[in-house]
Amino acid sequence: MLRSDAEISRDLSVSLARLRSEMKYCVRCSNMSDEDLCRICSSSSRRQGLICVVADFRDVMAIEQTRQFAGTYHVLGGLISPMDGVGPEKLRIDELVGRIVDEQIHEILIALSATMEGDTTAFYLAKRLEPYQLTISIISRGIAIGGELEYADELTLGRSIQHRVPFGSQGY
Amino acid sequence: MKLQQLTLANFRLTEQASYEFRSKLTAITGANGRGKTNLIDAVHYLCLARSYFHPHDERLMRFGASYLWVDGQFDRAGQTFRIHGAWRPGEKGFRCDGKAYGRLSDHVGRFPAVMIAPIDINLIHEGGEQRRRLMDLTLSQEDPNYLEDLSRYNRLLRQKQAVLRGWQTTGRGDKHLLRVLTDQMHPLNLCISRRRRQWTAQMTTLFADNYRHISGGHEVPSLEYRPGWPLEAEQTASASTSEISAALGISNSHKDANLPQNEEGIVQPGINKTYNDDEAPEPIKMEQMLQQEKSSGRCLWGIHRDDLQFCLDGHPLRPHASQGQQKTYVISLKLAQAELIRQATGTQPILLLDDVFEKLDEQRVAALLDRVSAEPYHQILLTHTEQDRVRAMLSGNIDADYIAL
Ligand SMILES: [Zn+2]
Repeated sequence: MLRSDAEISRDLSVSLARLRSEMKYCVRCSNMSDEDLCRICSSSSRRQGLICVVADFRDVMAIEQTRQFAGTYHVLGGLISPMDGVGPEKLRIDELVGRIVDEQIHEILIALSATMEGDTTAFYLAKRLEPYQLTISIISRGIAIGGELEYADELTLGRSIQHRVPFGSQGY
Repeated sequence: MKLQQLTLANFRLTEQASYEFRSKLTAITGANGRGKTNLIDAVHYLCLARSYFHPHDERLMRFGASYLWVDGQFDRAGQTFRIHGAWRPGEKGFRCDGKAYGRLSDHVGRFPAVMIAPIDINLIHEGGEQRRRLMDLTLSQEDPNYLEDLSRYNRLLRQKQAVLRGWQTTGRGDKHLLRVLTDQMHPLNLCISRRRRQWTAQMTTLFADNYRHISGGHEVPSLEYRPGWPLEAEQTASASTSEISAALGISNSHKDANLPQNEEGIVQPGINKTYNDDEAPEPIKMEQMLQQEKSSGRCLWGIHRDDLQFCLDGHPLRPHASQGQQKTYVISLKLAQAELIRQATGTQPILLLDDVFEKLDEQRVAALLDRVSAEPYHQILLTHTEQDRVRAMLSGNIDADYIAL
């Protein structure tokens, strides 16, 4: 049975509207979620004390696909770009700092795009997190320079999490 | 290298036209307003993906048109290449033998060209931007990484300026962010500054030689690189940043910088300075620099403030030199630029001479023509209002063709 195009598009717009109205963000990590706390944050099998910092919830999906990461996430909501009006205060960086104390975080993995703004954001995070004596690592750059994280293929992204490199403190 | 054939569409006043270039020298003649300059600018556009005269491509498009393109066939070391460059609002693309370049900067430098035009006198009369552009035009044709570094630097500069502007209006800002951007710019400052300093040294010899030849006089011209940032700053950038940079893979390309380094790999300042000590920028510590930038709301230090000092017999060129001397100075510089590009790329650039004979006495014109004929240029395109005058000037010592517009 073929339904009319009009019917299909009406169904589609109804489900899109429902998706939008039901879309929530995890109160802890800001990932997309149905509940207050997302499935990753509330899972007992995820390693506590390790946070992967990403720019966007789509990056969470990309990294989850690789099955290489067992910690929790923190979604910043973008990258620092002052000329576009995005200063650090517009991102969820204070919340990240709060979590480090509250959740006794000892390791941060930075997984941001290999762009100028990605680098600026990574440097900035390293500076802000300096007082907490964490292990800070950054995904290794198998990703093309200028490449967006969400378009990286799974294999490359997975490998760059396995081969993450220390960031800042001990030298490299 | 030689451009054999050129077709333009909607470029400036031209709806569509094709030209062939057979001889070593092609003189494009015609009354003012016939489009002589546009024609050689189209060659510049084809070679360098940008106009020499108009920074914005929309200015190049014929009135009422919705796109423009230039297309040309080059012969380089016996191999033929077809280059096609097209622009329409919001879209610009260059192709080589039908294959699109990933980035425009991949095209720049493969088919080098050097333009000499009356507006070059601005090099002497206007601000440092013109002189930085001269350096950038040469260096980006010599080395694709230079252009990449420069555009990264300029992006960071815009970010930092946005932070400083905010600081000035609100009286507060994020000191970590300011420091991070400054540190990110640091290796680029080092690298670009090093290349420009090298460039100045290489240019000086070549250019003094040209000047003596064309002027026939005894004045000694010189060129000095004035860094727009205190060399002291090279030392004060934090070591932790260089480690972070290493982790991010940012400074890898700059690690091999030929600047003298101590054991920790920190660059030793002041070794290659070319300015006189009494004119050197005050050595200022990084924190003081940032403090000054915060209060002024502008980015005060960096290669965007670099400059060149032009001298003749040890005196600044501007108030002392005659018009003829100034013009000779600029032409000599541009010829040296072409020579440097040839040395660096192994390809002889096309020499584009727009109206250069104006305000030069006959002796200098003869010396200039002698110079460009003697040099191993493969191709010279020049414009002039009168064909007869050009014929008389060339007097048969160079293989020449004429295009009358
Ligand atoms: Zn969560």
